[in-house]
Amino acid sequence: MKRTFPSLPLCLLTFLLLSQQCTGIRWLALSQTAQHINKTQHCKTLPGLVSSQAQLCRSNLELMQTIIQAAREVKKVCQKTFTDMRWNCSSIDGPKFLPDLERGTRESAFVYALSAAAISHTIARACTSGDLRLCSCGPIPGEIPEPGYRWGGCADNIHYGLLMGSKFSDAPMKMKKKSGSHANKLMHLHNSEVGRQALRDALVMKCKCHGVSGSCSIRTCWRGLLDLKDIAIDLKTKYLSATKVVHRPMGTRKQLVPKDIDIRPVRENELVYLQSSPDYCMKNDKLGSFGTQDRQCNKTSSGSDSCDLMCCGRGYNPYTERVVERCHCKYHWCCYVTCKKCDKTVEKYVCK
Amino acid sequence: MKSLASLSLWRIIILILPLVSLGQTFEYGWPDNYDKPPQCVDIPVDLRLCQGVGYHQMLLPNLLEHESMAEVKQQAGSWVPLLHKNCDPGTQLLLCSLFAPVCMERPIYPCRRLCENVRDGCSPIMAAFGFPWPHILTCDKFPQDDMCINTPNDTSTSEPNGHPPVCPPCDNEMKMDVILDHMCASEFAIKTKIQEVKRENMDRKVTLQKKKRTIKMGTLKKKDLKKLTLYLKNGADCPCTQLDNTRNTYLIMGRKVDKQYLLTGIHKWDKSNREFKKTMKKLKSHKCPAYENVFK
Repeated sequence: MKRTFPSLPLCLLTFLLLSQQCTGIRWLALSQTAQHINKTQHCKTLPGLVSSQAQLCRSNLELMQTIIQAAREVKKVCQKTFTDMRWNCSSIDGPKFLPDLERGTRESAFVYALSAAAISHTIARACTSGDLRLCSCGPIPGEIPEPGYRWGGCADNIHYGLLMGSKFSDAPMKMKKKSGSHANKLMHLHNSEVGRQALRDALVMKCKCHGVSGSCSIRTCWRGLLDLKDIAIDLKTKYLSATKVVHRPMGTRKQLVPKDIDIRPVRENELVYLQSSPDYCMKNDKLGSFGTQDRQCNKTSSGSDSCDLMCCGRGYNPYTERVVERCHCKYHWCCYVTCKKCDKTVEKYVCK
Repeated sequence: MKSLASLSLWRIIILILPLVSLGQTFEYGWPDNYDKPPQCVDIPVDLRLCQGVGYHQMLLPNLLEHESMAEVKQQAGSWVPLLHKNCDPGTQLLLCSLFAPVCMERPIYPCRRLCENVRDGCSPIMAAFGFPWPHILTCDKFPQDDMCINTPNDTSTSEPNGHPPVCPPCDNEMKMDVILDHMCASEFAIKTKIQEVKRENMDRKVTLQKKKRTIKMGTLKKKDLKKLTLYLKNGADCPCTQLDNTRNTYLIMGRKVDKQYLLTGIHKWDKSNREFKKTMKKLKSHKCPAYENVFK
């Protein structure tokens, strides 16, 4: 495997050449790791890790496969959640990021929050499924259940997920060396905490009917996490209403405060950003914008994926595509399915 | 709830006139709750509901969101007594298509017609034991196209007799497995004699003699046991030879529904019958599926 440079010199080099900061989501590059991590030597070769993360890797080797899975989930869920937007999370592969995630933009705020939620979520679920032997089910609630209800099942271990997840994903922002501006660190830590709070809010009661003959005379309940895609949708709502902040003296320390509203502190469930985003209409490498040329759009939609909005008023081109798909499927006892092949022409629209 | 919209498909007849499909497909998929796809596992020999169903492997988690085999077995156990009633030829096929679904790339649900046939044939039997047709088997949610499970000889099957003449609780076979299954499905069981049988609306009211011996206490309390009156639900007119013979001693099973005690099984206490004797001996060591074992 190709050996990457140690993180500090690379970060310093990046800082000197581009005047950019070392970002805390470089561990998302793990999504491209094909290797199974079962030796401590492998920790040195993993891309995107700072030294304390590599140390966590060596001392919690079993956890790394789950963290790699979390990195894959972040990419998949982010791109799915933003399919209908101009910015669609194309650049989320690390370890080097484009300016849309390097600068402290609204988009980076979302990615930091989602990453923090995803790593804790994936670890908590791994406890439940038994993939991680370091942990087990979450605690049984102390309250006495109502008649007909009972505690059972395996609760998602959110406590362990938050503990180990934050230890890993927050490590770059907590490095003592001045390898990045304080304002950026505060912003990233805040947004990561917003993501973890969204995860705590996603711990809900789930129940199953376990009565005789399928009845609900007895219900077994446990505390389980919503799916990561539901948490991502919640964070997207926060992304759309994110607040621009500045680094300003407050008392004896400098803190992040809303830029246009002087009178209130930043709320704890509010995503924040320091740099305004471009409109992502035209390709601009300096800003990390791919532009929407050749992006598919929806002619009949009135949302953000509509052709007017997606194409930024430049217009769109229709084209037809011939697809072959399975049709008239029939299940045969026992047990196989036969289908016919059907030709179909679909009309699609792409931005000019 | 998911529905299956019809898919409009257009074939290309003239290349210069391509047309656009206006249909939409909502395909059944795996339940949302699981990160991993279901695994293909052997149907265990002690999943008695689905022995002899016609295939040997099943998906876990199943289509009822049971996540472990222990959960599948525990929940399937209460359905075994219904199989003994033979209320519809498709009963096992319907139940096992959900409890132990066939291993395919995507889930295959039972056909709506199969579900409706079993429901129409079996819900009167279930009602006699105080069980409504459950929500998990609501027929409207099952597909009506060809991608579903029907009885293999569905087109040639004649309409089965869905209403056996004998009262369901009186129609149990004198066989150890059957008695033990009904014992587990019942809340209590006692040895006693019948004092009086009277019609009351659509039911038959059974008054028991004072002298009783408890075989299975269950939820029954001692003070309730003294003046216990059982109801044969919807049993005013169906024949029951056991109730006609008040001189015999009986093994009587029941359960409580709201404020009534329903008769769920009645067997003559026949020590000369070898099968009955074997059952009573087995009963001492037999363990019913317990809810605590669901999540082992």
